[in-house]
Amino acid sequence: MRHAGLILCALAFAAAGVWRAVTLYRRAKLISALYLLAAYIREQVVRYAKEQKEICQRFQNERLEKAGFLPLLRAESEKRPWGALDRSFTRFFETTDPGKEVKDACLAFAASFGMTGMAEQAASCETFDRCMREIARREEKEIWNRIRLSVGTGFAAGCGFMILFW
Amino acid sequence: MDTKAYLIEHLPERFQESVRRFSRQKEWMEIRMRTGAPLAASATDGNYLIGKYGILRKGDAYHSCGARDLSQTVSALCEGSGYRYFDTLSGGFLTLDCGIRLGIACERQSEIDRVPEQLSSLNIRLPGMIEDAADPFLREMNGRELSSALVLSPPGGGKTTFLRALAKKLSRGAFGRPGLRVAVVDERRELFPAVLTRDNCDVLSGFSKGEGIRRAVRLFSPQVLICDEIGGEEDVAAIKEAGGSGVILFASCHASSAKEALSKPGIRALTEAGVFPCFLILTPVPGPRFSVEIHLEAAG
Repeated sequence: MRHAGLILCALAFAAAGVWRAVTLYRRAKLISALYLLAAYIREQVVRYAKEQKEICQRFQNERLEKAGFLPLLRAESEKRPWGALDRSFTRFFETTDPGKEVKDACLAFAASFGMTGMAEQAASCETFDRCMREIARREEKEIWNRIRLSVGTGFAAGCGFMILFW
Repeated sequence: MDTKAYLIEHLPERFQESVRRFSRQKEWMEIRMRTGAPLAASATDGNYLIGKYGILRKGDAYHSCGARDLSQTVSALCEGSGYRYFDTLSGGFLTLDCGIRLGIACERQSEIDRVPEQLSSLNIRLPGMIEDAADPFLREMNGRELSSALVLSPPGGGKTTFLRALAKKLSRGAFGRPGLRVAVVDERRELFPAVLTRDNCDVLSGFSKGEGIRRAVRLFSPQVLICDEIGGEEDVAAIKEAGGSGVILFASCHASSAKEALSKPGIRALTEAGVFPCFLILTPVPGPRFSVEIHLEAAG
């Protein structure tokens, strides 16, 4: 009975490591989705000069949808089109923490959306896109190390626990 | 929703109620926002400052405009899509689809698009939608042959409103006169913004005035050609060309009298060439409703 408890305990530590790894993976994917949003905005602005409301209403991405960002964006742009992206990011980050770097870049990009001319808007989208790609690339590169580290640490902690109390 | 209600809804929230109260007191056509100052409005009977409770009286509280209020208003009126208007924004003005016009003064312009930044003053004008604004003139011309005329008035004197009404009435036919083929050269989309019905007019927007006039004459064979605010050398040359093609021309120019208009070299050249045999001088009449007195004067 005691041994079973200790094994379960070790497995729980390992599971915590796996959960942390999954969170990291999701975050990396979320960041990837954000640069898709920037690319979409750029295309809609430069090629079609579409209104902000239409852009916000029509963008589709499964990951951002599941994360709850797109429903927020649609609701905000329906209510008031100007500043919709800004308000949506602000509300989204109340419940999701993608890290300070991502958060700052998103809020700066959103605050300038619709306030500039076309060339500057395109440049702003490109900068945001580049920034997100860079972060996503960095995160994805590190993700396997982090997964190994998280699972390994969890498992090692569990094993240590077992050896200590066996 | 009418344009006035639309405009009020797009002002920063803390100003909305004050402007609604002011609207119940006065019939206004323009609102000005200046950094560090209360809102100001031009009504049919004078200029007013707007306080928290409508017209600002001595000792009343008021909301002062900040630079952020100005840029927020521009952004809201563009529906958060300023990039759609960058071609005109860089020129310091904006005509929205609903006909609202904005004049923008700023401390500097952005480096790439020349879009105004650090706004210091904003003039928001409602479009004049007075269908019968040209009726006194058309009534006077009843039974007479229509001839080209230059419409004169000081800024905000109702030239655009008059020309818009004239274009509609002439294209539809009015006062016993059959409908004519009317072409409107509307460089800044002020005469016929997207929401206004154009009746039987061909509206050419998005060209320079000179180019628009040439295209209108060449492609639309108009009987009447209407354009707003002429003055540049290119405009004058194109109007001379059109005037010599048998088209009846109506154009407008900032001036409160024939003498003032003739002091402008371009206008003098057009008058001397016989393009505009008469001036139509509009004088705003103070009162609760927007109205103008129309005075016809022979040129030269």
